[in-house]
Amino acid sequence: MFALLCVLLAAAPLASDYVLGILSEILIFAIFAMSLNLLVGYTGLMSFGHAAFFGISTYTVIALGVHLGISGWWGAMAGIAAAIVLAAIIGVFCVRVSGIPFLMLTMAFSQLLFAAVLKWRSVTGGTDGLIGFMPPELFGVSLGASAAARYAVAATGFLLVLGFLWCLVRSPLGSIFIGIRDNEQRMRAIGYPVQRFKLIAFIISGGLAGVGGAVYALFNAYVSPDILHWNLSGDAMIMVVLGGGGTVIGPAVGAGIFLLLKNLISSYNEYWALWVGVIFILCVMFLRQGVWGLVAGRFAKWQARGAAADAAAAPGAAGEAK
Amino acid sequence: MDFILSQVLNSLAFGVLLFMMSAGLSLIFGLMNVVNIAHGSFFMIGAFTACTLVQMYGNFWLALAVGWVPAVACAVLMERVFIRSVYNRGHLDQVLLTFGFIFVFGDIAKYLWGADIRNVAPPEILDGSLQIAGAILPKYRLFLVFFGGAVAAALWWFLERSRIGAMVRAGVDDAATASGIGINVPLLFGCIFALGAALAAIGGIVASPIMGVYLGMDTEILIPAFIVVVVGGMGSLRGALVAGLLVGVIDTFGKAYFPDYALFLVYLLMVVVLLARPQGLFGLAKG
Repeated sequence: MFALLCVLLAAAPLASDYVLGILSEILIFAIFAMSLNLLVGYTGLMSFGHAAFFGISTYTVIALGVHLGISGWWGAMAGIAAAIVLAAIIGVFCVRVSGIPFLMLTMAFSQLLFAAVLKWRSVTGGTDGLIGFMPPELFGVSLGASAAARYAVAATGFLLVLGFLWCLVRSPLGSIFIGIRDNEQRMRAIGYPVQRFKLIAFIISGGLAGVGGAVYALFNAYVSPDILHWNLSGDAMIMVVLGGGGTVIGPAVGAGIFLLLKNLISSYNEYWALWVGVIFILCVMFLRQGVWGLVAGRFAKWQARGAAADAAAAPGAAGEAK
Repeated sequence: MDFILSQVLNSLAFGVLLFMMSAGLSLIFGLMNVVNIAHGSFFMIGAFTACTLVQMYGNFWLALAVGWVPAVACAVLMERVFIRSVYNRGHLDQVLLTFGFIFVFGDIAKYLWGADIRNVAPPEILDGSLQIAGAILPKYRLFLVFFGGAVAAALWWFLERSRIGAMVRAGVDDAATASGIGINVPLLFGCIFALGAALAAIGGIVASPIMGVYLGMDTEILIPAFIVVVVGGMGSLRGALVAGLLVGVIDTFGKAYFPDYALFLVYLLMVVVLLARPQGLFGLAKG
């Protein structure tokens, strides 16, 4: 399946610039949603302030480029570092509480950053945002000129984050996160310092959101405060729920569905938020495992039935395998 | 002196608005461990309804008397039909559901009332200002403070002295035991949810002459209300009142004296309280 994904990503540059733009955007927000899912789906922490990490990274890349002329590639490193540092600072406060106070705190901190960016006009440009960023070159092609190059960056970022998360959730550290999600008290009783592991999850998740934000900066070459507003944190939450939390790829599927729906509905009428809200509510009520969870569940059942049929057809072989 | 006096009035007026928003949030949380992220929508629906009623009948008191009805109807529908259906799942599912309703209510308001910013005139008797000790104090804000005080007193009486209030307190302390001794906790939760919505809507109605009425006011009031609930302590009415006034004072005086940093003072308060008492000023530590 992983190879199939790689092929899909590699074949896509054959498509038109418009399609590539949408695909790149989906991949970037897929990174963002997958990073949030590490908290929501794997560690059981409901964060409503994830835009802070995505946004600070975008702002860092653009601001370094516009004010100091630093290349986007170095800027991206700095942006990811900024997201990690911010996640560490906010995380120290937030992991002291859990459940709903955690949700409120993450939301409040991200709004604080939003407000700070609005105020600090000399660096951030206030409500106008920052324009004039010179996108860097990839193998001699400017990212500003070529949709395919931008797409290549988005796809690379996406695959790196996907691979990283894939390994992480199968590692011992990932098992600890899942343990905290499933039964925090038991983990504490076994002797794990739960708060410290929550902080680790928070920082990794923030850093990955920073990767998304940095790629977004290279893709968009412009930043405005909207990117820090908690609306974006909410959008990411919708992507996670639509696609299905608790699987690595689910939120990416959710990001695709969300952005396609948004494009589709908003081209027909102005009340797209209503439809997204309704779909989201129905999804929470009737499809809690998300679209990907449904598909993967069906697939597993189908595979199990196939395996059972095989075993019935060749009992000797099945016995040998055991 | 007169400057300080008028700032005190402004802080108290903002404080009681925050109290009306966060009292409902806090009670709902205390009873069911659910935070209603769409709570600000009731505030907005109340304000828009008041705006329409004042336009149609020119009577603010009528708006105050019945303007909360649509918001409560929305709340009952939302609780009965939707939240109830995910009752036996985790609290987080219920929270996610309420989050979806922000979009629904927001777009319905956009459809019904449009995206323009509207103003509501205060009633004539409260238009203008009084001069007390050299300070010019707008009558409407004075009314707002007294009104908020009356609401707080009525709520206190309801919770501490009435039979239903005793049931609510029992439910907040220990929902399982309360239902074991025959209290219908789900019904109680529905009532508190509606009561919280009514409080938020009334907050929106009385806020409309000073804040204006616009789309997006729902989420704008939500963040300070969350801060009040976190600072005051989840499930505590006293906490909501004290923290509401505290945030009102800090925000208003901060804006007057340190306009560049006012925004951060409220968050600073939250961080300090959380470091010293993670459960909030009046909150009980809950597992």
